[in-house]
Amino acid sequence: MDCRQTREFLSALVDNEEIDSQTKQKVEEHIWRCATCRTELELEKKTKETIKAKVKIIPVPNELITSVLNQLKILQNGYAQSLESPRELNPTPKPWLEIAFSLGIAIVTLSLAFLFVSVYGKKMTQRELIRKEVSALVNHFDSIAQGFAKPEVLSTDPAYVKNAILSKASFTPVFLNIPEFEIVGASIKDPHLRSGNPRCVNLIYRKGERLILIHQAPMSSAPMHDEIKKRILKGEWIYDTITDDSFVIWGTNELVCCAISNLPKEELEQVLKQTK
Amino acid sequence: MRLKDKIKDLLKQEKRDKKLTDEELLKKQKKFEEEAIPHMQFLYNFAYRMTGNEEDAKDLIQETYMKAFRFWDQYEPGTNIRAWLFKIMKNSYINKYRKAIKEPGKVDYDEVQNFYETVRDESFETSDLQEHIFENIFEDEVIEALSKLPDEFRTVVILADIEGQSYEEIADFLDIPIGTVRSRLHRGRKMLRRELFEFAKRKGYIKGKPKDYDIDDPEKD
Repeated sequence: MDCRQTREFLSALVDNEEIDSQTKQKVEEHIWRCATCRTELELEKKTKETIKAKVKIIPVPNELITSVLNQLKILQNGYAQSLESPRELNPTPKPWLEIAFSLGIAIVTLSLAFLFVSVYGKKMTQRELIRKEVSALVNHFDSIAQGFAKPEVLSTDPAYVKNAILSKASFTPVFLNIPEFEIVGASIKDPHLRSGNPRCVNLIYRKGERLILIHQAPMSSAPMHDEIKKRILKGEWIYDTITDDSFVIWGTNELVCCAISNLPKEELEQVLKQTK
Repeated sequence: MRLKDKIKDLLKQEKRDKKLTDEELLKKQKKFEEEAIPHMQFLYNFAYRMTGNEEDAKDLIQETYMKAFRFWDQYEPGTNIRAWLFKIMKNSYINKYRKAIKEPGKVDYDEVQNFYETVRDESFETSDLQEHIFENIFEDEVIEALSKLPDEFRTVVILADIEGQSYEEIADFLDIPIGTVRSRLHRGRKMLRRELFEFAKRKGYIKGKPKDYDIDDPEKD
């Protein structure tokens, strides 16, 4: 075996890779006799050692793993079509806090309201009653509007929101078409959360900075004062405001609805009239 | 059956099918993550050394995983998943960097020829003075030397010397015979040594031109 043939096996010798025993013997014989190839072998060994010692394995950046997993999820949802939309509600990210936080506040407010109602109910005017009953929802609305709470479903695709809600809700909600407003999200968690209460549906409509939250629940289970219920069943739409937010309650035999918005009361009235 | 009931049944059926599909998709995603994510370290390091920077390496990895997930159905369970992922990444790399690369699986006789010529041409390397090459060499210099190698040589050096893969694995990754792995690696290391020699010369450890250190004719045998 000559130098040329030997050289082809130097790397295998350096790496301790298998060579058939006959060839290996010949290569080793040649190297034993040839100083040049011996040096060459030593140099190749040193080259390998240098590369190995100097060029270290780099750990994978954590954010790369996260972003790959996220992209897989998005891709996965692309396949599932209606599972979840990758697009977010707000183009400018807001500091969404846990929905539980705002719900917790809502529940506390509500239970206080109910305590209040049960003790002083008879002495209060109907207007105050309504405002008390709606206050939890208004809190919920505020935390969504200010970005403290995140609705369970968020998507710029109204069809997707509708599907998600229809598959989760225990009753069939009404999807109002509000001109110029788009459905951007929804939740089925109930800020009332009274025992045995079936879930309600909150739909969130948006037009720029303006939001309308439409809360719906089955009439049979809605926590409501009998007098107010009567007015609603007669077909009355009861409008009012709480601080900066306006709201309206109306209903049918099956459903009771409450819309809350950061629109002024008159504008909310106008907008909703167009849906009738 | 009335039409209304028929539609109702169909809808019910569709809902059931959909649910099953969603579950299956989720299972598929889980399986993919389990199998493919553990190889990210290996792929990332290769991508990093080939592209020479973090951003490009990240892009390449993301592209590779997205492609792999899309084509996950084509992966045969039980076969070498690392090689499968590597081939996807290699293709992405070639497409992205448009480097001329030879057809995989083809024994390149030009290259074999080149190999012998290189052995002749680079006989300078048989000098004992080359010991100096490895003195005070810095990490960046080795990395820079590596970046100067043509892709096919850089590939085998990265796989063997940085990532510690066996010749058999490398042959599998690149669809080339083991003999080609051997010769490419030998030649790749030699080229790298020549670059290191240049650094050493510039830094003053070695004086003169490479050919000044010629000692022997490697073909004396």
